[in-house]
Amino acid sequence: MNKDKFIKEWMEGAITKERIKALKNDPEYSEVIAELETIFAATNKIIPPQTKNKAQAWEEIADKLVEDEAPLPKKGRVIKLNQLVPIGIAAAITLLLIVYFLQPAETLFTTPSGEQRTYSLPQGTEVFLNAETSLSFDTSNWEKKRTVTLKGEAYFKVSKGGPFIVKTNQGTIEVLGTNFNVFNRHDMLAVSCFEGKVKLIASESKAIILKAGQTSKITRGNMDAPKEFDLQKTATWREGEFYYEEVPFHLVVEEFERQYNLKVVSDTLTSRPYTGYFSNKNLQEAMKLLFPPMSYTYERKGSSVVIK
Amino acid sequence: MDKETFKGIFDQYYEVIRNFLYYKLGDIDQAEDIAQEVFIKAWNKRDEIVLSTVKGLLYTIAGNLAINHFQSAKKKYEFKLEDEESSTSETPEYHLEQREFAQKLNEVLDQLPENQRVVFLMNRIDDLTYSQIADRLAIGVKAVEKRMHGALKFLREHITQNI
Repeated sequence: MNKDKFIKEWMEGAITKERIKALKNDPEYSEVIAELETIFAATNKIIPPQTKNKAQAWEEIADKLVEDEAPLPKKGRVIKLNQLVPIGIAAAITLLLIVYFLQPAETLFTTPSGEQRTYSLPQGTEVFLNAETSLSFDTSNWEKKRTVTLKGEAYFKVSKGGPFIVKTNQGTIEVLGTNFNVFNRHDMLAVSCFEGKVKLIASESKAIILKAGQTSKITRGNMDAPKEFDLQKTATWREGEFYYEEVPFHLVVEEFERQYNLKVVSDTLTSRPYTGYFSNKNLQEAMKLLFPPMSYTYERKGSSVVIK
Repeated sequence: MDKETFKGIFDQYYEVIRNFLYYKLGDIDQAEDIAQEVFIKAWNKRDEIVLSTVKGLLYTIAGNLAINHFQSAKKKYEFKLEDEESSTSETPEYHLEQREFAQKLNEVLDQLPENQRVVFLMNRIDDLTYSQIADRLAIGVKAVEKRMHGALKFLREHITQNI
């Protein structure tokens, strides 16, 4: 490891105290360690002044943020004509029209690891996609048939209108204007309804209705009875917060990997239930909250975290 | 994007944007005013906003607005030490020492070139990694490394001598 890399890792909090201690005796590092310690000691506790807090700042501008009276329906955010070179416009329009008429207008939204995104669907429905999620739909007959296919996790705010249908590999969800969260990874589909009503369909003969505040899941065709959930601690991934109660640890680790775009390397990853919390805003804290409670030691190595 | 979603963005980024402006300008009144202006401008572009790129947009708007205000700024850093006011059990002498220390530190930060100061404080105060800083300032990680290197060199020389 060279010195610049060492400084970088230290400043990013990605190095352990033990390691710094060990390097102190190395003549190549002792000087730079002493200097950094002096600078950190001087600057560790500084905070900027403020004359108003975040809530006050919001209050002051909230009135100036005027919402459109009737939001325009939006097509998938795919190509903007004004971004094309002028000379290509005519050709591009022709091409787009051909594509539009010849094929069903399939739109695909995807999010990579480590990112969340929000999209507007036609007619004012909003969807928030968690990391590693894909959502596809056909806009050609949208007014009559609002159907999307989901893989991953998403939160929907469905505008009023005809039925809205979410298809997954484990079952189908049918709703009428409502807010709900869908988690569909591996062989599991979990749906939490926040507002309105949601119909969860496992097969032709197996369907239930979820009311606001109820959740249920389908695992390989088996559907659980609806149960109440804590509105404050469910689907909080949109705020970057992840709460777990008695969830197999390997599933929690997967979410951690998706949020930080890191790989967790372990010889003995347990499925013991984990109860706790982590946020996607502070890696050091997240690792502290996840691994030690499950009796693992952890070490960050580039794009992976080695746990033992 | 509706107002509720936008409020989420505001809650997540207002403080770091305000800090960023303060690191540049050294005038908290101005930093707060411009930070609010940044979010009003962003709201007006809400149709173009995608969550994954919104922070870059906010920093770009903030940087542009800061340039316009730069000339008129009354620049004077007033960073405080976290426990300066909160701990009541300490002696008055201790508080005085802390205040003097903070004042000297503010003078040193003031002398630091702007580019270096911004990068250093985004790391120390906002806890951002080099690549996060690079992303927000739309520069390369190498450039961040270089600025940080300069900042550390400057601070090393001045902190040990003056403080």
